[in-house]
Amino acid sequence: MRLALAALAVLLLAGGGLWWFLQRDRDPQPSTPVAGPSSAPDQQARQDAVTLISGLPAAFAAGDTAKLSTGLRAEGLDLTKALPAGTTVEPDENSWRRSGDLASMDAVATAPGEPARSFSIVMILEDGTWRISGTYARAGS
Amino acid sequence: VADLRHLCQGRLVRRRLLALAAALLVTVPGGLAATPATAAAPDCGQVRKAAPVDEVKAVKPHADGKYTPIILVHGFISNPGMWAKKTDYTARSLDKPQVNRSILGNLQALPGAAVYTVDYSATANRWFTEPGGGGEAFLTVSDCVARDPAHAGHPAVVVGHSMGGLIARWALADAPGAGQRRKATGLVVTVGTPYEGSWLSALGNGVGGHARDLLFLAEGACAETRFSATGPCRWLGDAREFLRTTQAFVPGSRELRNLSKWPSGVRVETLTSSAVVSGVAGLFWLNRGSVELGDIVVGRDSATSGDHPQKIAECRYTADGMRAGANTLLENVGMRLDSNTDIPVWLGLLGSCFHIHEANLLEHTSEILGAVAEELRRYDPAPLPTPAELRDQRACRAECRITGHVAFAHPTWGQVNLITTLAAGDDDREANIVVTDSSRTVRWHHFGGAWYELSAAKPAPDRAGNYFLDYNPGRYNGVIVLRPKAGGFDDFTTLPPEDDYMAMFYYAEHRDVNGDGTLEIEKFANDCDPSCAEGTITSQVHRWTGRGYQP
Repeated sequence: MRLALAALAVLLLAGGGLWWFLQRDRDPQPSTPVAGPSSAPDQQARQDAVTLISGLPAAFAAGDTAKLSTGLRAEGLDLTKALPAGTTVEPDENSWRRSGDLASMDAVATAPGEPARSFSIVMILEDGTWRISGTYARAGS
Repeated sequence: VADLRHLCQGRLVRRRLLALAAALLVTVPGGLAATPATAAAPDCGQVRKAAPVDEVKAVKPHADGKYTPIILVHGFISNPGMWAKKTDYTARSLDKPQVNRSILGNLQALPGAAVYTVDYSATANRWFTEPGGGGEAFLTVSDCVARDPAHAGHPAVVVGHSMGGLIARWALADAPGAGQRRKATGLVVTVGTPYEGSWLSALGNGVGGHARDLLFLAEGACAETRFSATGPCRWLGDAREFLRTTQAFVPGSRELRNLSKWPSGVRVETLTSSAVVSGVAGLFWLNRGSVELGDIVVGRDSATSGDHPQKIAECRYTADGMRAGANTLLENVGMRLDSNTDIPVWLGLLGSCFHIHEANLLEHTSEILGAVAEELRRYDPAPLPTPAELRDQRACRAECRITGHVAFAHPTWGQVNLITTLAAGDDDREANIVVTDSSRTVRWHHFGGAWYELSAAKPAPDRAGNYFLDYNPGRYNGVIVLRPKAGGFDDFTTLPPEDDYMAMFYYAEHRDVNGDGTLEIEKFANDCDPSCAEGTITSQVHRWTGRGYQP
């Protein structure tokens, strides 16, 4: 009987210890991959994104689809309608976010005679190059 | 929402510790070692009704003193607590409904309902057929409640969310004892169940485009909130990680292919949510129309797979004029941005129509409650009409009296009464066989003729499921056999033509010859030689063959 009680006590202690170990670091941590402090390659990618977005009006005006992802290119879009002539696109470098081969940056596009519109621009890394995957109108824009 | 932090942190260390703990327990006599799904007798000691919530008082049983078991099965990365959350989301309005009830509380308040929850939260981050997984937990609960005498004669209703629906289907189609379990199950309702997999798990495996981008943006928007590590934001990240590591939910996976479809005869209803984003995705001024994201985790086609009644709650989002609405929505999902400017519409994707909120969505909860309530009523005996009501519906041509009735569930008309009537006056002769439903409406009627006696026989039904009526047109007893079928009855030519009495079993007596509960019919013949009063009577016993009666 004593032996059984002792065994039970050992088991309870072991179980309690295990429970404590499993619970002790249950502080909230986001599992969503979020870009941490910028590393040199990340800084370069961010700069590449700024260049890519800023250069879209000129590229679209020239009918250059090289800056679009494979998926978007396949849709055969009329780029001159995507960005009317004279439109400027101003990226917000601080809004940069990257997770693996996907990244996003906000930008404000202003077409002549129209109010400015705000977009989130998603980019995908294809063959080592960032390309536009899609643009998404932000609320109220 | 279950806590899955273990997936991200200290995973290897914990796995080893858990393995050590499991080994310890296995070595202890009577320890918690996992039992295989083929275990013959589940331990029913731990299977109890869910504790009452929402201040639900004790509910009345059915008229027979029994209860219908309602079994709630949660999904992956979840726990039974999901059923007790308040029903505070709606797909059609951004206003927060003023309700103080959960789906669990509402179900518990239904007369005749005994609600059970399956809890496999400790293994909810595994494919359910693995040892110790959700499959085993469900089998234990469903098999134990089926054996409980308190539920005798009342098939269970199963409500499964997400993987819980897959578990229910597996239990009724593939698991050991599935056939028996099907007999003990009346209805299954699944919500957001990934029958054909989760397209979220297929991101990176070919599925991409605007859907992938929007989820990426939603995750990013989550990261900007101070609630990034809790609620739907947290769950989305955990789900992405879970689905990435599990692979079982990738459409066409081996695990999904190994599961059978719903077996015929099981009544199933599928519910899901679908978020539709319009006027948002495209390329600057080029709008690409609508993007449909299902409940973000499961596409609507996957959740409604199969030929079953289905209901889809749609949430529509657009960038235009959404700002005020999005603010309200954020409050609904328990999130508010630290900065109150430029709230992105895609954060709304984690709101009302999001996978984990489906059991709290008004549209779904009311659908579930309606389906369950209807199922419960199937087992309430239909009220008996008065003779006057029968006459009003021309089931009696003149004043009549009810000579007997049997209540049962008809496959088409639900709960019914099989009623026999005779004329009210001593001088009149009119016999009727009538079937009325739970609203006392006549569903079936047969005018018997000028009979002296007509009544339902016992047992009703016999072990074979047949109902027997005795009738006497004046000289001998005749036997009518009725067997319920869709839209009416089989009568095996035992029903005399209207205003006549000659039929297959005139004249005859029914009795259980071999005591097996299935009635035999002894049919007599009189050669009436030299007269019927002095004739020789012979008899022949007709037995039930499964399709009819043969000597």
